[in-house]
Amino acid sequence: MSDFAIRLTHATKQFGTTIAVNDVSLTVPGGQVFGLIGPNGAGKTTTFSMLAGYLLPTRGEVEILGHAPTNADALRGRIGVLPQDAALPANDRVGEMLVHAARLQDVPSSKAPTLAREALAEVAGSDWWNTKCGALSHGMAKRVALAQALLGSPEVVLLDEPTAGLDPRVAYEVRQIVRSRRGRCALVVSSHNLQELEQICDAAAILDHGKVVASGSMAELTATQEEIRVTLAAGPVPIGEVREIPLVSRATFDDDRRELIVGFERSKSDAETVIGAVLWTLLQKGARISAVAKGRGLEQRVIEMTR
Amino acid sequence: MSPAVETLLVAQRELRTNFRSAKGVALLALTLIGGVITALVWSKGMHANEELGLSGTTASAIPAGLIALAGLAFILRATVWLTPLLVLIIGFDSISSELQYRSVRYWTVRLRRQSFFVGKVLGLWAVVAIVTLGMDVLVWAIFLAHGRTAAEVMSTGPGLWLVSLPISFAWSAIACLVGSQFRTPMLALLVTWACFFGLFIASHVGVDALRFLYPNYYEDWMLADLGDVAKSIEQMATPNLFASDPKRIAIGASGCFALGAIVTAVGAFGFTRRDL
Repeated sequence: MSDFAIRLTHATKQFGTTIAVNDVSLTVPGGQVFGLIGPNGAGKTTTFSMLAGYLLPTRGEVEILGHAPTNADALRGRIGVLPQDAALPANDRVGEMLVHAARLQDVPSSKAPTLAREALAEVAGSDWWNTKCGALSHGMAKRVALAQALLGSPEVVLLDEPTAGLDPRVAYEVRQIVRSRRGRCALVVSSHNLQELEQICDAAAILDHGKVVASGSMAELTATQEEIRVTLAAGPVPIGEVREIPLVSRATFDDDRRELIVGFERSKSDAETVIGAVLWTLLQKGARISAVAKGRGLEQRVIEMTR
Repeated sequence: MSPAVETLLVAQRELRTNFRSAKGVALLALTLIGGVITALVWSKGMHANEELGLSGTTASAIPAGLIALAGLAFILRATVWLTPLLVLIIGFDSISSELQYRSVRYWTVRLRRQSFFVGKVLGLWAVVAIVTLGMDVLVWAIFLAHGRTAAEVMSTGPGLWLVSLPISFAWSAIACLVGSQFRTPMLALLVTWACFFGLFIASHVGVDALRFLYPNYYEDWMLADLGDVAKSIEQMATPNLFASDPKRIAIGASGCFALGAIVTAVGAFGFTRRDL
């Protein structure tokens, strides 16, 4: 029994002379929601495809629950994958496709329809049982694909752009589904939607040019325990007074964003205490506060790391 | 789950898909066209003496039953010759379309890649076997409708269909092997056709080593020579449409199955080593 759900060890994928993923090492423990983040061409989908066993690593090793991803027999029913760009078989009816997937997961033929219906109900698609996959809209097809990924109780679920192309309400429902699985299985989510990843992920890796440029818990990546940001409306910016607060290790002001960035040492205080002290000082000095946030935001972190 | 069960599930799905899609309609049309062609050939079949190169005098003395038997043999053999065409039409996109739209990715996380490939080959083989049987049954029906006895038809028809099975298996394996190399079905169709045609040419220009790679080569091991059939009819004897030596039939069938099995094994191995 492995103590990790997913592990990449110096995984490299080369297409001809192009190195798409270069020496990536990552470990994802069970029960965690893990984000794969990066700009276009960063190697997210290639990494994802190696995890799913679609692509074989040129060098290095990829393990899912202690097995190679291509070891279908050992991983049968234990891994669910939502590929980004795979079309559902157009001539199959939704129910039939899900039942076939369940049968391939070694679910007895008597139980496969029930399991398939449960998975379809989870994505609010019960009405599509007899609909041909080719007749589904993009959003419906995405949800059916998600249903096949969640079929049974997989210990590892890989989701590539799970909410791309979905309307806000459905995207919210999908995020709820992902949240509901937290702790029950390891989820890897590859997405461009950084706000979404920040909301649902416990940890993440930021990739750029095929390499991991940063990885860690979401709190580490967004520095939520190291800095706060206060957006100020037009008016006084008492930065000197803020710097004099004993808990504050540094303070800078971004004129363009009108954002006061206040750093602190996590060993000496927590974000909430620093927020209280800083706001108190700002209000006393007549500053007009528009917003307060912990950390620097994943989006900004990614922009910084992938320049 | 055993590889056999995985393979069976893939093959079953292949059967279902083929007989329900637009391609299934095309298959039906092909079967009907086969029947129509059979009827046309049959109309000439009573003059099979010309087909067989018999002299007019001799032919006039030959019982109609014998001539009909020769016609039946000729037509059923035509369905064997049609096998590569059927395999090509039905099987060119069997794997390439799954690669093109990447729907293969939904399956390969759930089963061994080898099982997927073997299941595709067996599924294609089953479809071709069923379509061939459909065409053959039409031929049998036409002959029965023209006054031939069930015994006459049954003594020849099922046997000729059985002969087509190892041949269609080998062609199916070749089609899947070649087709699986391409993500574009149209390209798969063209290259598979070129490969089939290349094997036909190579086996007919006397390249000995390549003859064994041409599935219809094994037909000569299992069936009697048409010239011998003609000779028997000239001598007013009921011709044996199959090779007279059972060993020869067994060797032909085994050789053809072995060719199909080797090609399938190569294709399955290659499928496990590639990116999808």
